[in-house]
Amino acid sequence: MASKRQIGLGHYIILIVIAIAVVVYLIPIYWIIVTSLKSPSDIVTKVPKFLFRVTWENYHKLMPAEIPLIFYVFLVESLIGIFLVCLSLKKDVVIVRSLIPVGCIVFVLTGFYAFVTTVNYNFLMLIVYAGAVYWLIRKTATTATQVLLIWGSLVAFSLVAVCVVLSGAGSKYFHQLLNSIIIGFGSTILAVGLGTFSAYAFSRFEILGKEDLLFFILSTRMLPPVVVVIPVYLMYSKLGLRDTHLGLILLYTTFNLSFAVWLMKGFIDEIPKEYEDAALVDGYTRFQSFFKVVFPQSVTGIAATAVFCLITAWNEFAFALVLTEVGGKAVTAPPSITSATGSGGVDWGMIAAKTFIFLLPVAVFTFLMRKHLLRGVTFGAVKR
Amino acid sequence: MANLKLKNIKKSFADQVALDDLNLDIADGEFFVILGHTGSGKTTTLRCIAGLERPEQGEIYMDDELISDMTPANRDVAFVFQEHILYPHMTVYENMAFPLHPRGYSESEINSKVVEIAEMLHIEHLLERQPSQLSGGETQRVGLGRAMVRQPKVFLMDEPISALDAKLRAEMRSEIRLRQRQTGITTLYVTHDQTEAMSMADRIAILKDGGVMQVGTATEVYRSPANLFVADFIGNPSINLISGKVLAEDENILMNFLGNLKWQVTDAEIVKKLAVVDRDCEVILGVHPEDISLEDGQDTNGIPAEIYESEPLGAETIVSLSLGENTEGETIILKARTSPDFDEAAGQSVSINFDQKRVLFFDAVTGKAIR
Repeated sequence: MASKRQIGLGHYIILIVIAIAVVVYLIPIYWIIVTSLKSPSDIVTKVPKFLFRVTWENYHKLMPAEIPLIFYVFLVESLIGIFLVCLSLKKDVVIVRSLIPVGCIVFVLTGFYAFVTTVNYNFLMLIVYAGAVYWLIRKTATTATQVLLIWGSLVAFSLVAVCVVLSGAGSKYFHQLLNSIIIGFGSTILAVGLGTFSAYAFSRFEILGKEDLLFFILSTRMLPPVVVVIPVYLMYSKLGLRDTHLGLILLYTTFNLSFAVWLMKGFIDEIPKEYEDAALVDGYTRFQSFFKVVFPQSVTGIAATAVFCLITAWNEFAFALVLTEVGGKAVTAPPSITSATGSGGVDWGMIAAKTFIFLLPVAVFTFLMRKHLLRGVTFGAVKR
Repeated sequence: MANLKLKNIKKSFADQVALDDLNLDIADGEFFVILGHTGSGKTTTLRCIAGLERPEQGEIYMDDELISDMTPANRDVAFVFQEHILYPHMTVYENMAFPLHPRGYSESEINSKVVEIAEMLHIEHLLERQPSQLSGGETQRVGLGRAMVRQPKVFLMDEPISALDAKLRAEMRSEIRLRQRQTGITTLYVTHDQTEAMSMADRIAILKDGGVMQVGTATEVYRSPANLFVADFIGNPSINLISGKVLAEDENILMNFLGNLKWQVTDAEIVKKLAVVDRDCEVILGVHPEDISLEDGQDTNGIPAEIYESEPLGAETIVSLSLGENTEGETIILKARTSPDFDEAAGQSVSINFDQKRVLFFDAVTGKAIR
């Protein structure tokens, strides 16, 4: 047996420091979870109660009166999906890859069933999306990342389906969560898509006044967004964009675009020009060489940028509050969480339950993407 | 397979001129090397031919067809880059098949072509690997295969092997040369390494500041360089250049160095050459290291020198010889290539002589060869 490496005192100190940091960071989340499981009288005790009777009352309040069966079907589907994602994260398991068509078919079938039983058109959209994702990646799904991508999207679709089911059955909060998802992902896709294309142009072509344009794009971030709340409110009222999904999507896209352009420019600058030159000489058009050469190599950067944009849009509160109406159709989750403070006092239990559900998707998403994120964030810093 | 003609190409980047009135004429099936220092416009020339850069002026013809306005895709050339040769997100097979997809081949045709070239280059065992799993030499081999698989009209190679270590470089040199002979495809090869250029080229073009200094075979550019730049560039150790004056004494033509050293020109042809030069005019004499002979001091036409240093290289010994100081106080050092048995100690006085048939003369003002 090889002798064990000596663990010095320094190691223990580092471990202790890390442990303390982890505890400090996790206490708020722990407290939110614990609060969401307490009854109102346990929440407001002067001395915090660490031992209490667990109650699901706060979560019940968020659920519709009657939960449709299809909800459980989608829940099981997404749990299986998460399990398979974890498997494909470990290594490129052949079974996970070969199960992709089965997963897609099952998803599409349940989607159809849900559509037929509830006549909710969101399901049709989801089915189309699932089909598109499958069709886009199926042909080339050889690497572990692509397998992960397909399963990840199926899980995301199932979770969205869960929200659709619950909001369809009359849950207000899940409707607002669905709004958050639509607005968050919609603006992220727009910002990252536009950002990637313009970053490519900035990185590769001679553009008149390139430096000035880049500075101009950056300058849109120089004032705190809240400053423009009133003009935006007046503008949106005139244009009829208030309390619409499109309005908030456009707004968040504007916020994130400059960030996306700059970040993506950094990533695309890192990709050697020779790759595209070679593709051009080999007979590809500029557009094809972008999609076949630049895009696959900037996936990590795109993922990192997307996560940042998503988190910004997901957590945004001020504009979401001002530009929507109480109980309106485009209210997102953050304003909804604070709306639990009414004349009847603060319903801490409900706030905690809403908050917990609210941070679950982003937490899981970030956790699954952590490797890509780390690579993405340190990408530009490593000189090759 | 095609011939290639570049006419009056001009290209500048911002305020810097990259190519200045460049003319080249490359024959069908030729292995043509463009040699030059960094920034001499070698790579720009290749990129103009490939269509990746647009020259401001001039025309490029391939097979007597004007291609200057064509897109890179329509020119049917293959480019081998120095770095970043293979796409990191594709396997070796996918990399090699990549140039075939836009040409409308079926999967089975692509497969057979890739496998054929892979077998030819002995890389068939690498096809399933990722580029990150390849060594430097293997990467270059695959890069070569990627260019060959399409059977283009012209190969353009931009220092494809300069990043490899010396031994691999020598191996790849002969590999590239062999494959070019086998396929007979016109090849333009850019390098800054004169050994590489000399050993591979059918013809070499030496570039400086975007202009062609000389085009010729390896022997031509070595034996009769057109100007001082070419003479200085080609050869390792490089040519010895000594400035001096042409004197006429009693019907004899003499070269006078450093004011006091004299060397008589006896060869009739050189005498004829130097006839055009004014007396007392500054000229530069160039002599390759192997054209200097060391003698014991009996030679009447010998120039006295002192041994400065000697580098035994095994097959030969390079001896540095000091001629004395010029008016600026710099010591004039000549390098001579001698047999490995040479074992005179430093500081020893010797007499040296130059091979009459091989010495070169250059105009000190224009730098052009006197011939």
